[in-house]
Amino acid sequence: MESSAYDLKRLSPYLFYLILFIGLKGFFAFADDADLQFLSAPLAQLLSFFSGYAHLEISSGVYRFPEVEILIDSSCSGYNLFLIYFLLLGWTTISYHSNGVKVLQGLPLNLGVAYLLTLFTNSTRILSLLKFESSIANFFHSSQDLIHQALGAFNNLFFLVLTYLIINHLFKKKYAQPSQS
Amino acid sequence: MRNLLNPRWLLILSILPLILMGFILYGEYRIVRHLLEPEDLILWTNLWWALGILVSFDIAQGLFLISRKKSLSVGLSWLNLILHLSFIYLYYYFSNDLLPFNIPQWMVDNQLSLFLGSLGLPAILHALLVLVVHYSPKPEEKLAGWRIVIAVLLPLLVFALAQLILPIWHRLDFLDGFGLHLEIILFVCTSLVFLYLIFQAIYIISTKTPASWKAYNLFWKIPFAIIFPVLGLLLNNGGGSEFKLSGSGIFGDFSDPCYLIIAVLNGILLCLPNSGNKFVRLGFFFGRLAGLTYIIYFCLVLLPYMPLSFLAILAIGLGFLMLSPFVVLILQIQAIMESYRSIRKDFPKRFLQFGGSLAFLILPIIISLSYYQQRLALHNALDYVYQADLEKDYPYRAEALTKTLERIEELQARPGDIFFNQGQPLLSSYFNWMVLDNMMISQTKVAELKRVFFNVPHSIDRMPATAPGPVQLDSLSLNTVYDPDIGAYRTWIKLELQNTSDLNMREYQTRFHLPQGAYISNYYLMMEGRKEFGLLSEKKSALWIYNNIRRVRRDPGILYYESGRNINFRVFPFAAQERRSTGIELIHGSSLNFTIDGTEIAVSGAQAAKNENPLMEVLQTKELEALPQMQREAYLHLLIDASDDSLKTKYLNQAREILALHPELAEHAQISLVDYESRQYEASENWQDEYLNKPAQGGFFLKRALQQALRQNYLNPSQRFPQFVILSEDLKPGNLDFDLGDWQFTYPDGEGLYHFQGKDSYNSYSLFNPLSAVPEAIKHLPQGKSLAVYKKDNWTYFLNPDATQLIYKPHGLAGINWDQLPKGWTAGLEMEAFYRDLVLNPQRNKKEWTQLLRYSFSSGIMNPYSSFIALENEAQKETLRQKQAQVIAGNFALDLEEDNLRRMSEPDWLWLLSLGLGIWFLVLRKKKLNKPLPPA
Repeated sequence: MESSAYDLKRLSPYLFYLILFIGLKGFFAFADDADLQFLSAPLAQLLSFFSGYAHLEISSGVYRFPEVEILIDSSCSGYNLFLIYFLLLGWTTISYHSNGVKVLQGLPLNLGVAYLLTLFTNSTRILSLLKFESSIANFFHSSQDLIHQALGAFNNLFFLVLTYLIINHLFKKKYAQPSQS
Repeated sequence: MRNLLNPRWLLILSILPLILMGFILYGEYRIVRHLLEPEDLILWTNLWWALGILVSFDIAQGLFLISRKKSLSVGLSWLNLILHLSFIYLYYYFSNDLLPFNIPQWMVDNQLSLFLGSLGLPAILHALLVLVVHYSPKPEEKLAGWRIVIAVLLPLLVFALAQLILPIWHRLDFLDGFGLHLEIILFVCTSLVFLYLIFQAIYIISTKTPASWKAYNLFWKIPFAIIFPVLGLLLNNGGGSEFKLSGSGIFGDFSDPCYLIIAVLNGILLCLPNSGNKFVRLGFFFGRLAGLTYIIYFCLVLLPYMPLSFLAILAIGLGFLMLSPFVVLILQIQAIMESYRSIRKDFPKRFLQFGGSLAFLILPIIISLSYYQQRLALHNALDYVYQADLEKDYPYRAEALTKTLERIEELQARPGDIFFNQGQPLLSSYFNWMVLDNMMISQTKVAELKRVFFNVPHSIDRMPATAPGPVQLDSLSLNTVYDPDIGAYRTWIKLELQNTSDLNMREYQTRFHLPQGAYISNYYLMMEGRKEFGLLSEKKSALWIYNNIRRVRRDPGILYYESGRNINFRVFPFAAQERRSTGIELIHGSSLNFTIDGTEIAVSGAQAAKNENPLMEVLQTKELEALPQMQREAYLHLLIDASDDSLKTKYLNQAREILALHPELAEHAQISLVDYESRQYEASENWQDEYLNKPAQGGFFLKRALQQALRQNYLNPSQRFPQFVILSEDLKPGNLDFDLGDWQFTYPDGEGLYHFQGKDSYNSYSLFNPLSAVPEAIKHLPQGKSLAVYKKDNWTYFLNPDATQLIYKPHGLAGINWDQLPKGWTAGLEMEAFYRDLVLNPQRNKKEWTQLLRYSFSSGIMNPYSSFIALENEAQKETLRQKQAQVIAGNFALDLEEDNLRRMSEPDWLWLLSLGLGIWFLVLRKKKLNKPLPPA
């Protein structure tokens, strides 16, 4: 009994993040372009800044880049990536902090960091797609949609793995020091 | 199965697929040949030789064996197997040289490799089956069990060997060159052995006759006929669990419950024992024949993946499920033969043949009829929204359209890729061909159909303007000559364009308004020092080519009409600070005054062209000034939203309020009650009861109401003109998403479209393009413009006196001889008259737009259906020609691409999962490889 209560206590922060993740994912099903503007608006700004292509807001949360004929809306906002980052950061934090209060304290920070990382990763994804998509599709004789998916997945996965490795490394370093001293 | 030894099978399974393969390859070759290097061309020549020899060999052996009445021998089967395998293997080995990397992927069919695989496999499998028959002379004496056991163990054995041997093999750097070939050949051979054993086992089982087999046949029939097909469908669709992808599966989207229902019914029919009642047996015969097409369909779908079944066994035994349709096919044919034998004496032969054919075709017929119905629903809806007869009433038929739009949205949600097939294989292509003429319908059009027929608000907003890019017009020069041959002026406008930024791959894009009586007759773009003249081609195909080339960053330039006399002009690409030259030739009857990208163009035409065109007359400004002037009296034309029953009383009160506010405009007022259709009344009639009592149908289709009113205004010229006022609470952008630029000639009195805001306040939109600017809030309705009045042939024209005007007589097109049309400037005028006629009668557009397109080609003058495009090479031009033929054969309202806009959507989570697993596997493998080898 004691051990199962201990397990439940140990697992509850993970479950807490998972429930949050599912709840936020559920919100996505009902969200429209305007609801995800908090991600798509800065994304459009970043894309314009790095690429030099001007953009126009054609309705709330929908941005058009006329020079390259692309559209940024809720489907490209990176909301799913944001949730994965959030879960990744949350679970990694929990694996080093089992204290419930600290987990709750870390929540806003995780949200903020996940938000910034999402913006960065998503802009990299779209910029690299603009730069390389057609030439890669041409090189491999495959459809642009296939390369779009593959390149996007590769980019996102690369940054997710990199983030995990860096955070893990930082935590390991931080929590290894006291025991060494 | 011994029937397979008949050499006639060669015709169906080998010769016909090879000939089809030849046609497909030649189609690709015709497009890409201009881009091939000499050594690649030699490779293509070798390919033709190889294909020719293979076909000739098959024909020769077929004819020889048929004439000698001999069956296929072991030796010939071995030879066929080796030859066909070698051909396919060598094709894939050299495929990168046959279609090298420098060929843009949009020029090549994405499915080419899969098609060729599917066409090459039947001959190989046939040869394998013939070998099975030859090497199993007495199948009833053989045991099937141990063959199945070996077939199951084979993949496991290979997996174990791969784990043990391949790491050593790779360590010896054996992979390069010959090693790689050896791996592939070993894989192919093992797949063949696997399939051979499976086929042999099935052959043995199918010929077993002992009583025990018959008595317990349900033990093996139920798994093969019912459980495996159902399991296969569920596994393909993701087991019906949360894992399921919407609208896709491993081999296609078979999530429709009909697939499962037919699989179960067919399975039950196969398992049921024959009845004593002859009518029940007849029912079995027809039912089993009806199910045969279903099984053949799955065999065709899975045929290209058959060699992979060997690999798929390693992954949760999926391979056996992939093979189950082939097993069911054999069982099905046996069951049909059995049924036939049991009823042939009870019913006339003719009846059985006819009924059997009908039963066999029943599923294809049902599918075809359903698609045909969907085609009718879609094309009628498209015609209604984009090319309807403005005088005709159309019945409201939305139900059939719902299904079609759902299907189209499913297909367009995400195009299929090699991992997860979207849509239903073969059936989706059939749907595309039958319903969509092998084209597509853009998301904007789907949204518009949903808005008009189901009152679903638009989620896609049209972008009114283009943001200015860094490429600008640097300088412009003119060269005008009078050409006596065409009786008009030719002016070359040479433009120097400059990318002012340090950014690469920029595009120049501008829009300009072409003055009345001027037409574009030539175009060029400087490409690598040579002057490349524009090809006059169909507009949609030209835009498709332009966008595809632009995505791979080559050299196109394009000119086309947007609406009215607005021209869109684009050139791509510009490197940082690059300067490029381009030129446009205009033909015009007199002086010219207009601007391109802010630069004024003025050409004086002292020698005004003589216009002898009977359809179109040109009046210059001076002539217009000399005519009597008048201001027409306005009357209210209320466009009342009838798409929401709950708001009708409110709009009715607003209508009464506005009519009371403007008694001077109310006297001749017109009322249009607008939902999916527009019903027009005099204000003095009793329209209120009709308005309140008729339930709403569809959405607020303002465009059609305006088109009807404008047409009426033009065809019934009078001293009065309509002032359009909209009464609608919630005027969404979708309601105003139309461009009536082509209709400007019908309404010279102003450009206002007024949205009533209460108490004589209005939001003023542009009548011809409401979303082009932010609406202006105004008080009181404005007066009409002063117009020149021109009377001729019992017709009164009201003309805007500010600029040159073309006089179009809207009754002169009947009986036109399309074979004897004028050339030169007069051709431009005549085409404009034809075009105006089509604007007023959109229903004729469907048939006559191709006539006008051909006229554009023969006269060399661009019109709203054509476009000038400068292309870099012959391959692009060939692709353009093929695309153009496809568009001309299809429905004008369909599209070739998705509005040009691409969404930068996030990758599917399955992609993340696949890549993640791939990386994990590689890491594990690397760890394993890095482990030191045990000492010998």
